[in-house]
Amino acid sequence: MSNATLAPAAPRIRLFQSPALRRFLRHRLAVIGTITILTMVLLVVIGPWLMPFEPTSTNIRNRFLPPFDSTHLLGTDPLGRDTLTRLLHAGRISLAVGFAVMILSMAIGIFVGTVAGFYGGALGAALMRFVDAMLCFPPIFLLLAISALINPSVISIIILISAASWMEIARVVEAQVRSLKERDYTVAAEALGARDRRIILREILPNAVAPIVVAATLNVANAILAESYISFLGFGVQPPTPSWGNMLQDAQGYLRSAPWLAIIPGIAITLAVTSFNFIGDGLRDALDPRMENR
Amino acid sequence: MSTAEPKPAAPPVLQVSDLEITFNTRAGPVRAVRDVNFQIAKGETLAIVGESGSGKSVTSLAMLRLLPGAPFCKVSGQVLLSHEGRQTDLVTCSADDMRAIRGRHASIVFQEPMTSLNPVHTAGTQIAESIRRHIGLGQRAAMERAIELLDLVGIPDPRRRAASFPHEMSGGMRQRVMIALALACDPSLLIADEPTTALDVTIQAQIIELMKDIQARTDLAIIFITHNLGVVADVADKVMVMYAGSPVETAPVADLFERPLMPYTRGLLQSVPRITFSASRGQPLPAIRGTVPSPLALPQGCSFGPRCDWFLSGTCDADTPLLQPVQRGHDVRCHRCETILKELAIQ
Repeated sequence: MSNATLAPAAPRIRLFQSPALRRFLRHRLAVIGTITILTMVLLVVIGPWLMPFEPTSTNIRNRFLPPFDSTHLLGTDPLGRDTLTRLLHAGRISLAVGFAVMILSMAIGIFVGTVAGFYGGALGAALMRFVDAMLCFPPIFLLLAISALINPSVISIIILISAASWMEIARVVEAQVRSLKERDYTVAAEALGARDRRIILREILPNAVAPIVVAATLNVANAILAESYISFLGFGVQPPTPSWGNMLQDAQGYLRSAPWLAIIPGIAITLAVTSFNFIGDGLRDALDPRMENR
Repeated sequence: MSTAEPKPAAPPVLQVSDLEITFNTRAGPVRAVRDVNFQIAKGETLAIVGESGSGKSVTSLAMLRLLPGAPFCKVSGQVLLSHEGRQTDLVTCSADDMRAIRGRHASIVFQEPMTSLNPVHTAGTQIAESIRRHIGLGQRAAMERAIELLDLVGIPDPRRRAASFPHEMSGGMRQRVMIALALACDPSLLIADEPTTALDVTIQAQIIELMKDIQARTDLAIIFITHNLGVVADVADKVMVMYAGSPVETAPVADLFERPLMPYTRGLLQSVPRITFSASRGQPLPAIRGTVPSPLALPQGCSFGPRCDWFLSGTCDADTPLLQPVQRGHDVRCHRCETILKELAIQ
């Protein structure tokens, strides 16, 4: 999954000669962000297998244990469940939601943006005005309004957040497609008998990869954040399934007595979101050829 | 190549009749091109010459229907292309037929080699893709053919170059790749829209030699669009001079350079700078006075009238002259060409 954010940084072959990769590696925060994300992904994928506890097994005798306890490294929650175990399981959900939203909203955004940008005219104008209209809603109200009406589950949360976040990508793609379809090589491909589909898939989109990748990376960060706050507000992933957002919600009542219950998932969210933002920044600089001489 | 030999009487590769192109602009419809008639046989090269805005590029784009669609632009007339023993009218055929013809039977090479190749694919991939699309070879066979083509257009070490990206090649080399791409499916017609304009002179000469060489081998019909008269003298069998959207003189190349009849052609030929140290050195270069009229406001009568030294009030501004044969194969659009012909005979 992590490859999705990295691979397009370098055009297929010649990975190690790629000036884009070199520029990315020079961006220190982006490298730190990448390492952080890779570590997090690794931890949440294999971590739960190594933990001796179940995320839902309660132990009334060991409630509110503070971190660095001999058996519970990050302590326990009000029901005596191991916080580290829950954090790792929650990370699976939260990161998976982030990536799934990214993929889904990319699919919608690229499709809408390409159709609008390539065919233009009344259809393109209608699609882009629809995008504008969607962007008019503050996303938090959109998310809460819809999630109040449906039965929340991980799948429905993914669909919901995607529905509220594909517009950004659609705009980026539309602008790119509109400019790239006028390029000489696109006209040349048409002059050599290429069909629309081929022109879009082979000539236009590969040249728009850079801004799409940047938008996608930032999209993951926003999706993780969105999942956290709708779960925090109780409309998202429902207990007992842990997510970073509903761990925060659980901790709400004990901020004074057991602050670590809020701090630990809070750190996880902050780390993930800032790391993705740094990666996005790094990719933006690395993939912008105008940065070459700086 | 400079002498026009009589060609065997096969149907012409391309026959254009009464081609007319109208753009709908905010200021009203503009007839950008009109009365274009010509035909071109196997192995023949037709040069279309004219100033910027004379309609030569629009004509070439219209022939492959690459102009914007119906509400913006209207093309009428006939563009008959012979291929595989059939004739297709490129003005009226279906979009699918058109796509099957583009790049397969009729190809075009554009002016800008630097931007006409897709930066994200290798040269070999781009050529192979066109071959697979039209001929349906497998991936490996298409790549082998692409390498052959790169060899044909004179690229050294074609196997390595097939794996190169466009930014790793020079302008001349990219134009060679463009030509290879255009020739990939062995078309019968190649339209070259100022293929050498963006290149420096030594590379220009190489590209022209290459095109002549390929033509000699494959019997390709070439439409060569240019404003460089030196290039015309070198490559063309026939020349069509365009002014303000219509042909004003068509002639075999030798005739045109020896005995240009239309005053516009004469002006064009005189305004070519020459590298000599003769008496004319230091003299201003003869230029055609005035500028090309806007297609929105063509002058009454002959569109070249206001700029013409032979202008005769009452004749030239009365009605539009027709393109008429003056000698065998030499057509001129001028009311006064008889007079010009006589005066030339006296000199």
